[in-house]
Amino acid sequence: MAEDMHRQSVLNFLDAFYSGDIDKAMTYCDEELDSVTHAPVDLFPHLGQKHGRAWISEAIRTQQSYYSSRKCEVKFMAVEGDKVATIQLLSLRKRNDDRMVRLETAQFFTMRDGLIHIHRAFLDSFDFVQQLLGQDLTHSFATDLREAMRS
Amino acid sequence: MTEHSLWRFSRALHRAIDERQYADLEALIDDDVDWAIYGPIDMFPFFGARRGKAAVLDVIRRIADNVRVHRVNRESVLLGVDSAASMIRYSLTALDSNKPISLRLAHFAQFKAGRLSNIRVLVDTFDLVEQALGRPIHLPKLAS
Repeated sequence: MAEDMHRQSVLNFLDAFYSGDIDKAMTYCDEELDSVTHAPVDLFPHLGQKHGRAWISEAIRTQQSYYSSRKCEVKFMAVEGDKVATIQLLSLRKRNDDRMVRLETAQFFTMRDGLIHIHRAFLDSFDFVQQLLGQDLTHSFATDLREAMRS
Repeated sequence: MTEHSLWRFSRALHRAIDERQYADLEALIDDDVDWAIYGPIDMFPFFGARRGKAAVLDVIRRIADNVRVHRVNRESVLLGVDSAASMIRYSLTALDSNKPISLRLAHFAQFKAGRLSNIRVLVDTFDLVEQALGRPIHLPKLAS
């Protein structure tokens, strides 16, 4: 059944992506991969809108350069027709200070001919930035935000 | 063919936010609902986790006190028997400042006997904070 194949392809892709097997991860993606990760691209230049499966290689190498370990746990998965949606818990260990950062991401995949063709990802990017910096930004901006929302 | 629970819930939710009519929504939420919108709760008190119908109705009232929904565009929808996942683009107005806010989010919902029993919502919160502040936040480059 096609939905079972799509489910397994996405699981295999995620396994290859987070184990750092670039060649294998790319075999699950369409050459014309269209990927958007909704995150601030000024801070994360390798995210945002990307075209072509070569991005997979760039993304894995960039993450490997910053994190000594990357683990992904799929917490929820839904499949309907050619669409697959997941929620994953990512655990990343930073190389520069050995701290762990943890975040949940939502990813939506649209398959074409059995390969990942469209990919969309969401994360609580403000919390992720705080974890990477190791500092609480909410106090810095909470007052400004309250003022801005009133003006 | 029976209408999927997602559509009934979505209509009732938007009616609650825009018209402050909560009766339809109340009937579509499980008493023990598990609800989470990931984001900075110090900045947006309606983010965070809630448990139980009363707490969820309270947070929806808070959302209704803060924003008005202008447009909802579902960019992708997956429907299971008792579950649903969507990517949605919202056009909102912050009521206090009258500022427009454009928001893309992903949600994963589970239903029990037609009532919402679990929902997780993920938003690009950094972008949301910048929109609400009305200016960019300058930080050093990072990597994910």
